[in-house]
Parts: sequence; C-alpha cells; structure tokens
Amino acid sequence: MAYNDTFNHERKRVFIKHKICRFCADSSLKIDYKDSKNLAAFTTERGKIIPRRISGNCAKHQRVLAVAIKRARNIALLPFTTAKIKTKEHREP
Amino acid sequence: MNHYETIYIADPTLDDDSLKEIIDKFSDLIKKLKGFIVKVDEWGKRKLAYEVKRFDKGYYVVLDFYALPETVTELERNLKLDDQILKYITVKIDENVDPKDLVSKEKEIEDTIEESHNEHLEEK
Repeated sequence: MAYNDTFNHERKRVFIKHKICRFCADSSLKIDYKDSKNLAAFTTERGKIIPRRISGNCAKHQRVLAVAIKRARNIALLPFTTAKIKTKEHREP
Repeated sequence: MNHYETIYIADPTLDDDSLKEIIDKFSDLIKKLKGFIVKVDEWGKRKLAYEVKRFDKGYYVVLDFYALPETVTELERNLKLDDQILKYITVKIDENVDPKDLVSKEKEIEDTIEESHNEHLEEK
C-alpha cells in the first residue's frame, strides 16, 4: 500500500505529454525547413523550440526538427524571438 | 555533383521587370557554371518573421538545382554582392549525384506523378 501511495503521488506531478513521436507514427509527415506552418507547431509563442519532454518527439526526429527550425529562422520564415524592439519606421513598399 | 536548394529573398519594392531580371540573372549564372536547374519556384511576397534591412516583407524565390560545390560558392558570392537581395540560404540535399542519372530520375518522378494522377482519376 505504501508503495502504491507514493506511486500515485508521484504520478500526479508528471507533466502531461504526447507519448508517441508524431513523425515515427506517421511516416508520411516530412520535416522540411520550408514548411513554416508545421514547424511553428513545435515552437512556443515566443518562438522557442518546444523540448522533447513536452512534444514527445523521439531523439532522432527532434534533432532533425531543431535543424529545420534553425534554418527557417535564418531565412526569416520563423522568428528568433517575438520580443518587440523599437525600430525606425519601415520602408513602405 | 550535388543536389542543392537555394532560397533568396529579394527586395519587395522592385517592379516585375527588375524582379524577372534578377531571377534570370541567377538562373543563368548556374547554367553558365555547368549546373542543372530542376525548378525555380517563386513564392512571391511574404511577410518576414523579423525585419531584414528595415523591410518587413520580402519576395521569396527557391532555386532547386544540381551543381558542383564551386558553383555554389560563386552563386553565394553574387547573392552577397547584390544589394537587392536581402537574405539567402543554400542547403545541400543530396551528395555525389551523377549528372547522367538526372535525366532518368526526372523521368521517373514525372511517371510517378502521372501514375498517382491516373489513380486519382480512377477513384473519382
């Protein structure tokens, strides 16, 4: 009983996460740095990459995903950060 | 020969003619340096995730091509020098591709596309 109690107690604190890697479950899903919409699903509102322990991705796919997000950031498809910095007026097209 | 993909962002304020000129310029450069262009994909004007050279929009162009590494360095040098290019990135997709295989490969891709098309039609 004592064992069960501690077990239950610990379980309550565990973060709810997706247990299966989405990319392993569905092989038709491809990680592409040009596909900013799908990559954005793996970033927080601030633009940070969501950790594996939350998203549930496997190590292999998380590595590929991280590279893809970083590439997308480089070509201005995804933000590095969303903190607003005051800049001079935009050049209007 | 390797398979590369280059994305560059051009100045969004340019008119259609000068945009076309720029796109042709870089496509011709690859051809001149013995590269094969598979596809030139124009995404058009898109909002940038952050400001680049004080622009908040950019004209995206994706170049899909086969070339030697020296060609890529030359292409990137030219992109860097051009004031109308805001940003660019080159990604190597595949290594050591034989140019002779390319023709047959392209045919294969076309065939599979056609097949899937036909299947779709049959389903309907």
